[in-house]
Amino acid sequence: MRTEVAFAGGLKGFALAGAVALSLVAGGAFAQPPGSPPQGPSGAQPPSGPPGGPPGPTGGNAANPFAPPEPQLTEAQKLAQSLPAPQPGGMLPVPANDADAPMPAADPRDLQGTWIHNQNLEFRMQRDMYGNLVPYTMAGAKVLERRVMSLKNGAPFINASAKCRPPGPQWQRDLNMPFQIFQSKDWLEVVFEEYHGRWHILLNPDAAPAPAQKDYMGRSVGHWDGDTLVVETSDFREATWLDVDGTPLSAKGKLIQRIRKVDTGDREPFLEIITTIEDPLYYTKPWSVVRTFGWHPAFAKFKEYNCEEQIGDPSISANAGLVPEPTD
Amino acid sequence: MGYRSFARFQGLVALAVAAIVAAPASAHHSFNAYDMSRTLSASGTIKEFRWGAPHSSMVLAYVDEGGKPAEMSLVTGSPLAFYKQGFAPRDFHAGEKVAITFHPTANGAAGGVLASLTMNGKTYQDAEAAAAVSTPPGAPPQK
Amino acid sequence: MKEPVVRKGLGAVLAVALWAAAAASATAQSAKPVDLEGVWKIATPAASLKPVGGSVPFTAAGRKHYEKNKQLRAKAAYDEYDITLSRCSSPGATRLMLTPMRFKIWQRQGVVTFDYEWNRAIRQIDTRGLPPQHDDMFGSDLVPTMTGNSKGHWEGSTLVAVTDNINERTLIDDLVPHTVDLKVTEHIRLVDHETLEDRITIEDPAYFNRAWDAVITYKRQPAAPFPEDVCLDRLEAHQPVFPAQ
Repeated sequence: MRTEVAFAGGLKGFALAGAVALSLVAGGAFAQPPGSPPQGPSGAQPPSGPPGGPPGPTGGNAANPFAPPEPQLTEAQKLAQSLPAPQPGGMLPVPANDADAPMPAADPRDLQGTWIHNQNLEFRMQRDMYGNLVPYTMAGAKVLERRVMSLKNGAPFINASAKCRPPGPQWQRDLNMPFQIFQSKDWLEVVFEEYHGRWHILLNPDAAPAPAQKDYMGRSVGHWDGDTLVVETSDFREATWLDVDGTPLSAKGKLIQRIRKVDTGDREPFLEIITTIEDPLYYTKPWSVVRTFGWHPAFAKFKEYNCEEQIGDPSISANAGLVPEPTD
Repeated sequence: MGYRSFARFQGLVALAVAAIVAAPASAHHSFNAYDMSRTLSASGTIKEFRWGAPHSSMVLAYVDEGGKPAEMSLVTGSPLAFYKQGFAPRDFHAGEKVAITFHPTANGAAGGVLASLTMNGKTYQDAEAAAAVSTPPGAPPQK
Repeated sequence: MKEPVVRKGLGAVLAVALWAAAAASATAQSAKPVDLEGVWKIATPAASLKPVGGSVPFTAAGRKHYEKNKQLRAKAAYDEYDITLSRCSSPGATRLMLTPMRFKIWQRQGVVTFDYEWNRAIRQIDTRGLPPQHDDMFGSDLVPTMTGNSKGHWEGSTLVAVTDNINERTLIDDLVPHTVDLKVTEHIRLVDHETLEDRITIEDPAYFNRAWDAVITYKRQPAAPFPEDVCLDRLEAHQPVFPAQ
């Protein structure tokens, strides 16, 4: 039995939240003086995509002469920004560790234990870890568009999660459910409560031969870079949704995860995972997001996740209520 | 889309999202897909009871007006909502005889939102459905 | 060739043991659990539990339900009695112990996790004696689950686990039914370094007129990551869902 999202006011609330969010966005990214593409002073990000018009003012506006220049959006980014805004994500507060709870191993390369996402969830990654808009190609923006609109139109597309299949490492991690890490010198195994998921990271690729059929979770090979575990995941069986709204990754896409354990001495250590998304089909360049996962041994006992009981029901057609997504 | 597929959509969105937004206590189920102005009754047996949070769903096996075996899906409250009215989830067995009242789907598909359920002489009243009935569409929910 | 699994480190083991002991100070608990960690595989695959006493001591109601299951199986009406075969739903605590595929045992932070090759299933035994930590505003703990709620403690070198609140849509094995009042007690121990034993005691007064036992033995396997197994894909491809062999 799972906890579903509580839609504020149902679909009406969805639209309302979307309108509010969109108006907030419009106040920022679209407030460009006409005919003056920005030239960034140091510290501002250069516009991505094709170059704009002749050099113009370096930023500032009537209200605030020190405001940084507005980024110039590509057509693809404009399309992505024009979509109905995602539902705001939240997070229930996770209780602090007890005074006598065990702490992680001292070895910084020992990532074992129980961890749980401790930031607000993001149902659609609209910006990277630096606050820049996702660098969509037009193909990528169009995939996002059809997925977001399918949900809005009440005919959502099938995706792995909706079919009780492994959703790929990014979606699998991006939920407020705990996971446990076990590790040996040849691999790490991550066991997730949600979808009773598994993620294997091979430190020694010979520990497991490449499967005859590719895995939903792809194939992940890791190596240590100092005390950061760098994991490259590729060879996905199918295109994956990177988040609930369908930020796309093609089957040929790649995720690079940089994982490190952080202990600030306050008995609330965490894992930091920086995920870099590489997919030339959908993004003009790699881009990264960062997530943290708090250490919480109290969550070592998981709730049961048995989506098969519902999805496997033979009396309901596999696609009832969901629509097969058109391929590119 | 028909109720059964909507319920499945709901359940599947639940699977897909599986998150709690910041103020779950103030959120409520969307009753847009149902005709809350009508209350129908039915009786039959429980085929399946799928407990969930914040909502559960139930499949009722019954005999339709033509005398044929049929099934309908109903959305209802959480395990705790039932427990507070003296119904433990472990008491809901397949084949258990129940009598229900419900608000049907707006598009006419079988099933709807459970208003009440009577089993073994005790009746559960769905408070959330009752609140939605007394709240005109578009107005804030009364709590 | 056998690859040992990296141990937690003595400090962490001690910390966990001390923490677990402190948390459950009211219950008798041995100071240090035995290490059951490793990869295991059933020694003699079987679809059914074999009662130590010879046959399952059904009550009339239990026998009736069992015979009904047999009739449904003969008609291949699996969804009427076996949603593991028809939907890939979790086989539940006892039937998972009959899987012919491998499983791993992890003992971490007071929780023993059985990590199955079949469909990435898991079941867990909580030895901490703590109340559930999760937010539970919806009463989810009231709902019987497929693997039930398992609480364990150590008696000498044996892990004793008691499981209840098991959803009655599971079977005890491939056919034997149970009610929601089923209580499963397991005595899990290492017979020797290569051999794991699970003595399962079944109690369900509505269906069995006395408690009955079955014993399952497992052999240690080389450590290895399990391939990704997705039962629903096999179901869609009309391949065996929960193979007995």
